Amino acid sequence: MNRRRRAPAWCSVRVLAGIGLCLVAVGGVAGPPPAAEKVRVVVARNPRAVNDRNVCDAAETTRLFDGALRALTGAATPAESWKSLGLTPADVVAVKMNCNNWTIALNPHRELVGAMCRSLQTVIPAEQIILYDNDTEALKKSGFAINAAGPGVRCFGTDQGGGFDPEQRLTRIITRTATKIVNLASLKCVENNVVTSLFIGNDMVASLFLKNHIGSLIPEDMSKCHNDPDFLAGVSARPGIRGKTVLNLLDGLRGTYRRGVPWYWAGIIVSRDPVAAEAAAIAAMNEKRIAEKIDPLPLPQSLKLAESKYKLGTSKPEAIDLVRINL
Amino acid sequence: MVRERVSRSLPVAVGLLLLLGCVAASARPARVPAPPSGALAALAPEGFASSGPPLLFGTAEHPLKDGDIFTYIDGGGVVYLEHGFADLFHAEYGDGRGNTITLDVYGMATPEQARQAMADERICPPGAGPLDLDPSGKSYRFPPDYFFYFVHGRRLVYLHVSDDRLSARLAQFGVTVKSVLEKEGP
Repeated sequence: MNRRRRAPAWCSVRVLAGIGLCLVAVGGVAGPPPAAEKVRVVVARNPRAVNDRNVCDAAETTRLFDGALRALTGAATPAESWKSLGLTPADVVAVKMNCNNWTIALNPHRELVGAMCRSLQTVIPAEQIILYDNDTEALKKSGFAINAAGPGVRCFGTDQGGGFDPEQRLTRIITRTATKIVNLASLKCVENNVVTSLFIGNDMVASLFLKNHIGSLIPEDMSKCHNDPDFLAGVSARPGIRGKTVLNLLDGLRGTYRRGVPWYWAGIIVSRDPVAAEAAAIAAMNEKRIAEKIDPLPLPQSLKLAESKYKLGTSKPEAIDLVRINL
Repeated sequence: MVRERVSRSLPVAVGLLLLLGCVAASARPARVPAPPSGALAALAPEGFASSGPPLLFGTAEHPLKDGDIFTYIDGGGVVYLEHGFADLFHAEYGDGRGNTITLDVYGMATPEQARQAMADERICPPGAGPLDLDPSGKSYRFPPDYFFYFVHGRRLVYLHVSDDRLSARLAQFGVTVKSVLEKEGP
């Protein structure tokens, strides 16, 4: 296993110069935080985990997930890793997935979900794991067996999840049933912010961790996220999400680096910090875009607001401990 | 004398009435075009069966029986709205062996907007291959996916198969869809 640490890829000279100028302008340079205070983001890749027809190797995908979790927590075993993330045997864990497969399949790979569920079961029984998205039919089409009350891992949509909390306007799967959340996003480029869209103020560049929770919302609020970055960022700051999320996991085994164009990145990203993880995912897309001579994506306004207004995490390279694993 | 005055003012009155008619017509809300008819709903690709009744989506202002475009494609729908999106007919088919075919017929306000939608790289990315059934169409092979787009009148048609080794089957179905749309007119 080749593991190395370095400054995040989005940490370009231009960006650093800009940050430096801003810091000087506000009265001084504080210097980077000590390593122990940095937010860790693990970018792990394994080309043997998926082939060029989107078929996963279960053993290699498990190795990828387990290695990334160990690197994130520094623990020796899956059980110790989850406990260090705050999981206890009494917890019920809701896993938010994105099964919207418009144009091409980018739903989470069952092999990755299976690896995560087996890992979780070192601490909690299978019945205390709930896989969910907004639409039960979309879960079925993505190959997940619906199981509302039987033995084993539970799986159903918010349309069968006991309704919505009237105050937080979120599914009761996370406000009432679950005590912990895993935010499992897909590596999906949406790219709405090209020239024509600038006139309507839409800056949604990717569908990652923030946007994943659109599917946790009461349905009539979902479309509010599309042209309102503040609303989108604020969803993840609601107590039902902010206070319960223990892990942000990105499935990038197959992703898109421009809208509608897939590539087998063969990787995952894990972090406790959704903002840092989202910035790392956009950086992964940008590495590919630069290689393909396409303009890099900017950090979207929603991510900036998640950081500055809602204090959900950091996108600042100097505050991030980026760990890269290549299996 | 009276008759002369009437005959002189008649063309003016008729002109005024026509003008008022035009103003009234332009003040009326634009008619929402109808989605494709039942003929499309009755189709299925050879060796495939419909996975359920077709779904119809409209805009937030004019939702159809299954909701609006965001119900189907979430944030990706914004791009279609920029091109005058009005309605979407969505159907899925399965062959019992795990392979699926998807048919989406996007109705735009005008044929020009349908063509502009197909020219938009956020809908049809660069690198398209040719499409035999329509020289102006665009095809994509991203294993295991294969899909293509073509325009008929104000409609942008998208067809997808989950296994690109079935691309010939999809092309055959595309010909059938096109002929049904041609019978329905623009």
